[in-house]
Amino acid sequence: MSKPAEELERLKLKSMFPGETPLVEVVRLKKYFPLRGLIFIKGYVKAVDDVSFIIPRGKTVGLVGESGSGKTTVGRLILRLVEPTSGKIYYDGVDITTLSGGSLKQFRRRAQIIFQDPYMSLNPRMTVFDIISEPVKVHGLKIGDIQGYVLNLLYQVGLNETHMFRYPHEFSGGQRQRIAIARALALNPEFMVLDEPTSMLDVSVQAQILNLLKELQGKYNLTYLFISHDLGVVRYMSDYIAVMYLGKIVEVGRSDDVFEKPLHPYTKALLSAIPIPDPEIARSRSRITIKGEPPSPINPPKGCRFNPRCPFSMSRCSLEEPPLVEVEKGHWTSCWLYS
Amino acid sequence: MVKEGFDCDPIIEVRDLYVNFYTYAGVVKAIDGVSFTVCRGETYCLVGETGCGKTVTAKAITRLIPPPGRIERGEVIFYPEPGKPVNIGELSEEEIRRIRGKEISYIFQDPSSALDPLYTIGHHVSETMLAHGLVKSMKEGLREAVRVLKRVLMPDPEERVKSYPHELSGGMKQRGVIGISLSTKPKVLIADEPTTAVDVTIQAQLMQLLRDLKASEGLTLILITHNMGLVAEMCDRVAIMYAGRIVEEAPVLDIFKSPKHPYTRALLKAVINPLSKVNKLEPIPGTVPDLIRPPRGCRFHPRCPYFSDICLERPPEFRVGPRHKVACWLYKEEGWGRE
Amino acid sequence: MSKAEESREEVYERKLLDRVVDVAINGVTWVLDRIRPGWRVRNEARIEEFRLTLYAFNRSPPGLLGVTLISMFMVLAVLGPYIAPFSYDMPLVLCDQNAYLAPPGAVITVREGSLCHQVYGIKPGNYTLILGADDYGRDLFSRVLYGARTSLVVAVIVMLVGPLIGILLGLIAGYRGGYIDEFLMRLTDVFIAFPGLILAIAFSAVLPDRLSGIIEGYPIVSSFFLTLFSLKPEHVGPLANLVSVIVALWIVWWPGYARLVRGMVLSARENVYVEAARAIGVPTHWILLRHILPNISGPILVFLTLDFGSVILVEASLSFLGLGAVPPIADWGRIVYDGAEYFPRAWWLVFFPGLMTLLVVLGFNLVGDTLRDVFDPRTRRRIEFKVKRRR
Repeated sequence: MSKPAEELERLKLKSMFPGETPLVEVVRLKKYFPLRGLIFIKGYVKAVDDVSFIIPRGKTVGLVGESGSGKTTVGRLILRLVEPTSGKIYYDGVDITTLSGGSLKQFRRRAQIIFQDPYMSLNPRMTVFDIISEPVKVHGLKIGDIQGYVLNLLYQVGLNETHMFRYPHEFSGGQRQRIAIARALALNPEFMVLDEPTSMLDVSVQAQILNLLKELQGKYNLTYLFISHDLGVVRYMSDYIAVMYLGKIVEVGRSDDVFEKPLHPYTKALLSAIPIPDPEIARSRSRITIKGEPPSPINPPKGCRFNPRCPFSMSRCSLEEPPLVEVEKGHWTSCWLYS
Repeated sequence: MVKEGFDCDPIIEVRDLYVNFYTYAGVVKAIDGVSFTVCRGETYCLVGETGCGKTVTAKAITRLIPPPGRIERGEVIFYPEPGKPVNIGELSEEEIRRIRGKEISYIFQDPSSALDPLYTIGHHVSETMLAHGLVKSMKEGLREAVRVLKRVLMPDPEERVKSYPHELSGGMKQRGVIGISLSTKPKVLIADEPTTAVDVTIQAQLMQLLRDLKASEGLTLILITHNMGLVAEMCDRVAIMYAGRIVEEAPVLDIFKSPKHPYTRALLKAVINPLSKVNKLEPIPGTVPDLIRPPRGCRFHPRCPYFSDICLERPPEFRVGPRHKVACWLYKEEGWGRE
Repeated sequence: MSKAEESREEVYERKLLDRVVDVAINGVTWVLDRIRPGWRVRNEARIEEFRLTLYAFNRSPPGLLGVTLISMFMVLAVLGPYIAPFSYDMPLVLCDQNAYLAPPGAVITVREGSLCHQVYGIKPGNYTLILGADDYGRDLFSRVLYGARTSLVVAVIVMLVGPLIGILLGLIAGYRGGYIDEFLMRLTDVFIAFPGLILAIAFSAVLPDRLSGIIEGYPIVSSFFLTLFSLKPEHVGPLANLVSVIVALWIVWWPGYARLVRGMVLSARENVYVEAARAIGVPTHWILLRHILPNISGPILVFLTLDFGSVILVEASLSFLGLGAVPPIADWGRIVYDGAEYFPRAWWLVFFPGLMTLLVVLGFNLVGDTLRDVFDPRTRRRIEFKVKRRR
């Protein structure tokens, strides 16, 4: 992509959400995973295909989508845990796609991640203390009383000293996530990717962890990218929401706008597909059910990716991909119904 | 055993069920005195978090409990026709095998583990039908299989009959499993978390399918889930389980509008309704109890905000509505009649 | 009793051996705590895990037998040269003709003023040859003891280096993948394709000439090995053969570990906690050493234990074939080789070294098997609950 075009795109993005300064800017990000045949490459899984959005400082952006939407990959890309195929990611104005070595390590201090699986994200052979103090040691931070520092982090997440020298397998899922959060906080980051942090936890525990995350956000002015397939949870946590389908962003805007005035047919279908814990509403509301199965990300449909399953599909939809346009202030969608 | 009152033609009655698991760590008192009645033609939901015993209860209905589990006490009565009770506990292995899969069918959470990867879907269906004497040969069974797949709205049923499980998506596999389970025209379908492994849009499709099939086949559905949204959408009556016991049972509207048991209330407060802008999620403090050494009396008392000394004695079920029962001492006065 | 000990009383059903373990652990922990204050608290959980592992080990009679055998071997190997009545190359025929192929229990006499007394400094008197003697009248008992030392030293040196190379290469190849991995795998393919013994024979035959130069050229090297093997300075020559066997075994042994470790690393690196470590910025070598290695150490340890016995066996086989230890160095395999021509008349020359080899290798195998059961999470649970008290 040529430089001026990129700059233009980036400028356009900066004003995606009015009144917000971006901390993270994702510009035309692509990630294609090669499918290896015996000798040659059979094709590419287009997991993330030209995605652009921003994450405003101090806010939470929720990234929703079903399996195959690419949302998890986006989270990994932003943290450089996976290398982008093309596109740029700016963190606090700096292009991080070209970082390496020491500067990459510096970046890691500012951006952290909480994983989905609390049972596997902690090294079973390390004690809680080791796990939480590792980031400090890795970055050579000069902290006089490491034990005290770790203890303080444990208190922050609702644990205490009795937990410090034990192994992860002695803890429940919810407690393990707390440990993971403490680990992420050890470096005093500004930004955290939360990759489905509660989807493997029970409902009652989920609430505990989500509240903790909110509390920490307020305390430390953290910026979150909250990835989830659970729209209820996303709404509870997020200020802004981006909806992904098959590697593309189909709608993005303020949480309330997207939920109450969804624009994209997929968003509408998604919202009507979620079961509502209220029997009267559940049985009386009108639902848009999408037909068919999600197509494969190796050979996505031509034009708008959603068109084969879209109840409002027009002829144009199978020919051209719609661009992401601002339909109302701070509320964007990529659909020919609005262009 | 007091009858359910009005309008209930019982099809399955579980009376005073106790199931223990004899493990190396000790005896797990997984099911501790569970009684309920499922009425013909309704959708009855067993709801609870992990470890509450809902799956074990469902399996106990057709004596599917593997060692080291054992049904200690209790009876399960099945009424294939109204007024013709069959005591499951007294049947021989041969007899119960005829009921399992034919009269009472199951769907489990992970369709991949229910399907043998070496055989096509068509083979699975015809094998089931052959085993229950519904067809005379595999060839006939394969023809029937196409019709079965059509009924479950499998795309391209003629092609899919020849597909192996790994060639199908999660949603299609689950459709296949539903097809297999329904091919024997059972009277009762027990679905244990049938949509936890699939996306929300596919979940909506599958739930719609179950609703339609239930109507067209006159099925009784026992749905096991932890998703309150699904409960609101699908269920007629709900039994809330906690730590191996039923703590509350009521028609779905009553459960949501006037939950009585403190656990039910807490559970509902911890569930997010994506359609309303909820500002505060209230988690339930504490964790699920250890069933080897469960709490004395009411198993919820350690986490209950209304605890008092009487809770150290197990509460009986009090009636608080025409079809509403609660196992909580708070309702001793309000409730009429003891079970 | 401390609080920890009290709760341990509650939970564990302990046997005598467990208390021995406790004493040992408490002793070591106390020392470490003095050196680095607070060590005990930080590693409380680790110590308990270790303790439980040892308790679990104690529940296995074969395992305990194995430990006994190995311990006896170690003691004999280390102390052997000091408690042996005679040197390994002492031809007692010179003292008393009865020493020729003397059967176990035979008595020989060293007379005052004899050659043995004046030149070799053996005190006059009667000596019982406990296990008999060979055709030079060399006391078999002494030679068996020296042989234990030989076996132990060879095994230790081989096991220190060979597997280490293999593990390191396996870690790198498994984690990095790509060309390094391909190259390494093809290399190990070549090595593994050869029957190990044949390869070892080939190297053992070729190396001595090369190595004798080094050994005799550098006094430090030669005196190092001489001390280790407890040999007399004049036997520097035969050293080259022994060292060649060691080097040959290094070459033969590393591919197995490389493949084993590489395979385990391939799956271990997919674990989420490894990704988590990368997200923190942990450098690669740290990830390999702290996150991957500890989580695959169980099977590696089992392998190492079983291999220790295998090395001893292979070394004996090589000596039996004429490579490795050459006379007069005492080596079990060699003793059998030399004694074979007198079999079955002087059966003890074959029987006792053979029996020792058997017992030692058996010991390592028993321990290795028990370790496998103790480390495998599935079998471990069963053992663990035998240890813990059921309330």
